[in-house]
Amino acid sequence: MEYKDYYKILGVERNATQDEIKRAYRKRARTYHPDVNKEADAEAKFKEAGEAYEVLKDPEKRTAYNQLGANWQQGQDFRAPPNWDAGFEFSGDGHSEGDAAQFSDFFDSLFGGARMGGGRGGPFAGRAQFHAEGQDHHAKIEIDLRDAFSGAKRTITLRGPEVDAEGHVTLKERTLNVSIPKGVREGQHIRLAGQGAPGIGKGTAGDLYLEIRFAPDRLYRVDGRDVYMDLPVAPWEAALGASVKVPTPEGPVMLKVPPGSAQGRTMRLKGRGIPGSPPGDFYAALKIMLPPAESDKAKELYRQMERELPFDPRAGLGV
Amino acid sequence: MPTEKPQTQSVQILEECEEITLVELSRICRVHTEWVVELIQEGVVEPLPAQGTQWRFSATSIVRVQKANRLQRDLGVNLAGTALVLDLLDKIEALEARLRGIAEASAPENADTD
Repeated sequence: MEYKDYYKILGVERNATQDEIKRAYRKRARTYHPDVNKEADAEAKFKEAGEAYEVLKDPEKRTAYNQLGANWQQGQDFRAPPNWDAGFEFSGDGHSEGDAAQFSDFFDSLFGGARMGGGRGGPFAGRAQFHAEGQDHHAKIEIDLRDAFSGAKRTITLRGPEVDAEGHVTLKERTLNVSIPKGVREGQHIRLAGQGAPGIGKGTAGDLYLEIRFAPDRLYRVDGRDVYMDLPVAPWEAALGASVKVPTPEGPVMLKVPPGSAQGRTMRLKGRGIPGSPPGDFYAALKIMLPPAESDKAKELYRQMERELPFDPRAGLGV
Repeated sequence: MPTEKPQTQSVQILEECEEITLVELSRICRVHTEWVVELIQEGVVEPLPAQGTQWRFSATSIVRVQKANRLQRDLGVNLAGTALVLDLLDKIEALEARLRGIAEASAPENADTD
């Protein structure tokens, strides 16, 4: 088990006042709150700060933690000394806020007994009936944009604590087949009723929420149900008009480029975006590609245009 | 690790077009209906245009109510603050989506001057 340096986690000195500790925690909580911060490790940092604050805000727990000594390093292998907390009295039933079930092994080894009240005559000691609803779980699931057009099946593995008939807690893996219906959009949530944490006693299980994310795509950009892509065209196709093949996520489609099209002209294929009611649209923005002037033939054609076309692209710049 | 046969689970997409009642919304989010009513009064969630006498909500309200709940619980933000945070988060998300589009379209190159 790794030692956790709660002072370092909150970025305060060991002799910090309770006010300083509170300020440091508040600031970290705001910065790393998973609803506010989309970084991948934000949630872990938020929980870590919550655990550190849980200990340091409580003078009893803080004093007990301090007497482990200042020589431990963050991440160092740690085992709580026997009876390390002898002589300390933890009041109440453990913590007041935060996601108690998510605290680290390190925290559990120090304060776990106080939390569960087991063996200490706490509120849930003995065989008293206790019921609680299971927590909701949240996870992100990444799918391909094309999956939104056809629907997709995903197998996800969930790991969570489960309480057996004797009251032992074990980590159990569950596998779920989830079929993602067609027409999902980025940022949408899928709810799987009863697939969150199991309840305790007669409490009902929590729900599992999956947030849909699209994997980055080489061709397409997505906004709501609308899909965008850059469509490369030759100068003569843009100038004279053409019928060109466009790869939409549902397969190729012939698209008419009108004569006299400029760079960036955007063509809409109505209803060819992500399915739904109404479905999104597909947009192709023309990107005019210049043929390279590598061969003599190509150079000669460019020179011929230069000689014979009265064309000054900078006519409107006044220079 | 014992491998069990995967369960197959029916899923529910939280869609705009799907409607739930105030009681369902509160139950799913595990919050008091009174608190949801406060959120409505603050404009954090909006009921759908009334059809009958009962409030109806789009299922996407679930995510919003849960977010509001977490912000209040974890950060101690009050109602008005929660409304402000959620609005700003929506704006940031819209801006970031646009930014991604722009960043992909134009990778600037350094130009030489003659």
